[in-house]
Amino acid sequence: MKPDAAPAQGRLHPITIAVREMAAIFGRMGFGIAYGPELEDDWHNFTALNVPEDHPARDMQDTFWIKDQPGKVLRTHATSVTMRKLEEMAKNGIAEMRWINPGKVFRNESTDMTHEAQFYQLDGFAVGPTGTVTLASLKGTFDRFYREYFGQNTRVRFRPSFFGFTEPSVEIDVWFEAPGGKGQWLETAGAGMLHPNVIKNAGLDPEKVQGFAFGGGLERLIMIKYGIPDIRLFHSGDIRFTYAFDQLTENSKQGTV
Amino acid sequence: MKVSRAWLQTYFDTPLPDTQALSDALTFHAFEIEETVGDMLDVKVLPNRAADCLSHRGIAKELSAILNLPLKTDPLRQPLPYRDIVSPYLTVEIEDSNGFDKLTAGKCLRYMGAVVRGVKVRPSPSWLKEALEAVGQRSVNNIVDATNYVMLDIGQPLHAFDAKGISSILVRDAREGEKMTILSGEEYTVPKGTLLITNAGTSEAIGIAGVKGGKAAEVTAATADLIIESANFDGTSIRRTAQVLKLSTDASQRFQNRPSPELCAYGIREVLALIQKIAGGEIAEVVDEYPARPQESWNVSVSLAKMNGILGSRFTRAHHRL
Repeated sequence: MKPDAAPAQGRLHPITIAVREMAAIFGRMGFGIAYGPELEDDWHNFTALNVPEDHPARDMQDTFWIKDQPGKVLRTHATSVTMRKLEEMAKNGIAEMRWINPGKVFRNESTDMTHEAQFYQLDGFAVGPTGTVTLASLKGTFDRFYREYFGQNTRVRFRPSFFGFTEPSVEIDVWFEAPGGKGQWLETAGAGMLHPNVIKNAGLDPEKVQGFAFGGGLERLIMIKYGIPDIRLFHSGDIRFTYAFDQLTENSKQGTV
Repeated sequence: MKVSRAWLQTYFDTPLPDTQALSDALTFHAFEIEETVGDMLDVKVLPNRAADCLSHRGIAKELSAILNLPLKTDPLRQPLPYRDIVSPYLTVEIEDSNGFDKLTAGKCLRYMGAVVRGVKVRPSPSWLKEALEAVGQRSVNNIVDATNYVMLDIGQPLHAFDAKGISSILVRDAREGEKMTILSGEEYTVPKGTLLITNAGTSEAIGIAGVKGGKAAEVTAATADLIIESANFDGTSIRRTAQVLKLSTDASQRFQNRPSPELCAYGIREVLALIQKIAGGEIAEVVDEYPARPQESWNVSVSLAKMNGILGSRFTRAHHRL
């Protein structure tokens, strides 16, 4: 290397870029970023979230349990962070909260083009006094998030579903038109209104507090936006992949207000 | 849950729309569809609706509401026949470590048993074979097929035992190291405490409760008399047994989602009627041990204000219809 050459620069990973971009969009809607432990306890990952022991709903997520640490799991979703935040709300007598929880989660399943045993989730929630944060708020929030992240032609659709921690529960589909491609509906996240039992388990009164929660694969959103065919590329360590992304997106330039 | 359009059609006078339209109707109002192949839809019923929708009747009821088509018949709305619960041919006893006495429900919430004498075991009629094969089931014989058909139709798991040598059934916990051979011929050592269906006379296990029937009382071409079981077992207990034995069956999947024990009576009515139709025989009295009998029925209510408050909608009395 010549002595006057500029030093080689590092590069942000595309997941980091995406998290910053999504955080900026949600930030403009009043959401902060919350983190929690990846090694979770059964209470915050399952039981408090209304997925009791020996309930068939536990079969919906294949879990890594920890040897010699009974009751500990590698969290299967970042919704565990929501639970911790709700507990904090009860403890400190806070009336409303909005957080996104972007983080790594783990599933005990075989990997293929669309499945990884560890991946990122964009999880989050908004709660407030009864009647203020509704299923319609959830739709509005995602409508805006996807328009800003994917583009203005994006549309959002809900389909009925089931998760232990929400009632009613929905799957969120996004109508995405790849540049020059045909539009199609794509499944992106699960969501719903927090189940009264979850609110209760956090130490809050479900008669007084309600809100929505959501969660979905984060890589999947990046894959849709940039047309990436294989989720395993994100953890491949291939520098050519990393260099294919602009580090500063329009959304993160705008910053949070 | 695999359902066929032709089977669903038996619930409606009006012709149902095509498979694609049924798939869309369910997708946007009730359940995801895993795949559709010809006449068959594989409906992904999640745990919140598995108690009532792992059945053609359940899916038909959903479609009736979504498409605004009246149900022609609803087997769960037809009054049950009165039956004497004392039978000279069969006694049933539940000896259940979780239950305190006859009136306290433990792992067996209800056990109905019916004796049918003089049946002709033979291949099923073609309509029944076709109905089962359309949803990926294998036809065995008219008796086994009848129990499977009624389970897939209204959701109640059923089992037929060869009644030879059985006059008394004991539902009890497995003893230490107890062995049992299931219908497929595999031998299992069942964990202590697993709920078994046993022949009280010989103390032999004839079924793993809610999971799988045993070889010892298999219905074969030589079978003349049957004991038909329509029972309900605790979901947690069944889920554990199925997990430990790595034996997930149509029955265990239903029981772990806690169908109503009330369904047993409808299940036995339907299966006895079908068996008489396709296998003949004479129905003796039906025994009904019901430790979990509900003392009163519950009403569920919801207010418009509550609904609007959660959904963010503006429904009024004008949208409301019973």
